[in-house]
Amino acid sequence: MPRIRIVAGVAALAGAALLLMPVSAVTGKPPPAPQLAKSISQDALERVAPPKSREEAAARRPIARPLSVGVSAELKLTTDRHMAADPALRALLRGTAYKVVKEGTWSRAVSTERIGVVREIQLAKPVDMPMREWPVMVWDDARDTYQQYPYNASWSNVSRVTVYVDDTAGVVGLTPDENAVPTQGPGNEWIAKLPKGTPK
Amino acid sequence: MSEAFGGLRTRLALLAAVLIAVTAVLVGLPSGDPASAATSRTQCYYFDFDGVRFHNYDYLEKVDNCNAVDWATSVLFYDWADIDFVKSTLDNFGFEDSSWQDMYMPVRTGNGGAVWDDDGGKKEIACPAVGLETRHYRIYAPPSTDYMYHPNLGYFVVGSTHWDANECPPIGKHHYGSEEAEQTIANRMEDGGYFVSREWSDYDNWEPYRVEGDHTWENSGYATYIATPYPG
Repeated sequence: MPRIRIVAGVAALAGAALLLMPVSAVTGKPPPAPQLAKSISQDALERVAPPKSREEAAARRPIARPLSVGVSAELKLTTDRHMAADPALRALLRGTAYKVVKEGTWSRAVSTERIGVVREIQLAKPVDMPMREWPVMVWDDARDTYQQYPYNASWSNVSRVTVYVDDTAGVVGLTPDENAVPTQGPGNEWIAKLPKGTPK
Repeated sequence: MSEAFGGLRTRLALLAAVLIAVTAVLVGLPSGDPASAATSRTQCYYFDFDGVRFHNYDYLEKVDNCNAVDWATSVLFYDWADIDFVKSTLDNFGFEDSSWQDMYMPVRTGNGGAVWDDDGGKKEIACPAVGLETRHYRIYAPPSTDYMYHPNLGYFVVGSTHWDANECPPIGKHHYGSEEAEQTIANRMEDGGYFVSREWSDYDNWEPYRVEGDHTWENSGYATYIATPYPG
């Protein structure tokens, strides 16, 4: 009996300790703390003042920064493999060459956990795509993840496409740019169920 | 003895259940971040000089939290700029449709503390359908004046730029191209005779190409300056 009381006491203490522990200790995740903006006050006016003349503006040569830092060789290989195996992308390209013009990591918006890679590809020539189901990526803000839907449509004049590749699931979204013209087919009832949201 | 033991066992089972429930609640707690928050910025600043203040990003809500910014500040209109004047000027360059989604920036001019301004901004297409895209800008200044002022800049406002695609319905909806939209505004206004200084000032908001959710980052880190003089 005394042993049982000791066990009960230890359990009660453990429970109390668990309640008092910070969430981060329970979940193993760092606590979500706001990151406040820092002040730039030294030389701030000098930095933000406009040019005094057209000549001064024309003479400016800012240090170029790369707009793309790419992804690792390993991720490139994984992404290449997924893209080569994707039936919708193969149906679109039908052997048409393309080059990767932009490439970067794809992560969740809130947790920042990496999902995969996003590429923008430029086709060697515009192509048309007969009616078929396309993988469409719709981001779900509330759950901080994507939903993939089959969009039944044909497209004409496709020359540039954004490709969303999940490291595990493969190609989950193909989005042609605005020069492509879609014609929606039947069987897209899922569209009516999408949250309307507010255009950003 | 067995009755007492059984009672204690029941109490222990209850305690265990409570502990499990508490743990589940703690583990399942939402982070508190806005659902569409972008990644933590390591270069989230505000310029602060002679009573003037503005930030190098705009925000998803009225909270100074660099984990919840929307776009990099990429344009500054100066000389004789206020919110209405800049918007009516940009209407002439294709930005006639209003956006319904406000974003925010703390700003200040003259005496007093910083105040939050909100702006939905303007677009070429209010809600682009599938296969359509639109450029979109937002501009900020204290609501009481609709401008900031400094002798070296005149009356000025700051803003962010980007593209929206496939929003209505949101089939493949995404947002991108802050640098490209900045350059488009610069091109159009330069063609219209305005004095444009591209990539003039280093705002410390360089963003290499990458995607968070449906938000694609791509920004040079330099803001373009556009003089909007008194039209008289």
